[in-house]
Amino acid sequence: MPATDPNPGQDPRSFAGETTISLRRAGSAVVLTAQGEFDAVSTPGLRTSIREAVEDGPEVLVIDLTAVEFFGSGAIATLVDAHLRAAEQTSLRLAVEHYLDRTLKLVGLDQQLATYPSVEEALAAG
Amino acid sequence: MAPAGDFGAPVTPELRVTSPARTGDVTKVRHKLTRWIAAHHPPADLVGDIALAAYEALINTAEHAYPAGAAGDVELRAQHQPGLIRITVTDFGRWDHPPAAPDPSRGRGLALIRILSDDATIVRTGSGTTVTMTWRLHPDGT
Repeated sequence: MPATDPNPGQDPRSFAGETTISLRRAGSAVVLTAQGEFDAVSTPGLRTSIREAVEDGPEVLVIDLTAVEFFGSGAIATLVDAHLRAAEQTSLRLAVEHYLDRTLKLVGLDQQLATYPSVEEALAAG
Repeated sequence: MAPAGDFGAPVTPELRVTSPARTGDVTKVRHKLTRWIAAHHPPADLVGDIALAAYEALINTAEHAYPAGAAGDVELRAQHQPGLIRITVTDFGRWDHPPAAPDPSRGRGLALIRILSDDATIVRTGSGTTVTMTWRLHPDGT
């Protein structure tokens, strides 16, 4: 490891590699919030959490990704997996910040996945 | 205001990292690269694009370059030259070892590399694979 951080002013959270996944109910909806960096190390935990949330079969499942700091191709694939598993049973909605929204558009997934700029807007959507 | 086509004085014009080509280790390479890019103050989306595309090249190497259980390295080189950033990811294996448990959710990595970079080339030889990705830096900071 390098002895000096070339950019000590940077928010250390951005590089800690820590992730948090939490669930909460909001009426008939469930909100799964994923925070942190989702690369090949952390994505399996995200995939399991999302699968379990989908298998519970809520009317609406909002996946809150507004606080992710890295989202690799494996993590993107978990969203496609969730979309396929949710099928007709659950309305799957994603809350995404600008960068992830742009990435999903670039790979052409904005046609399949319903994205909103905030959890509130995702919950309010019909 | 930065000079046209550049971000201003390079902080460290080149970063070279050699790491074991393993999943946990390439995360550390990603963190080093992200710090290096951020120190050059490029447009916000470009930090994400470079980190993501480079990571996909790194993880491809970790998952496919070497037989399961065999040690091998991956080298990352990041260069900031006037008007461009170039990232090179090199391994010394072959991308013909499928992971022990094939994951149907993979497969977008190479697509991301091509979509996110201005130019991407993948050169495979008998002694390894090199992925070279280039981003052009525009004078208007986009």
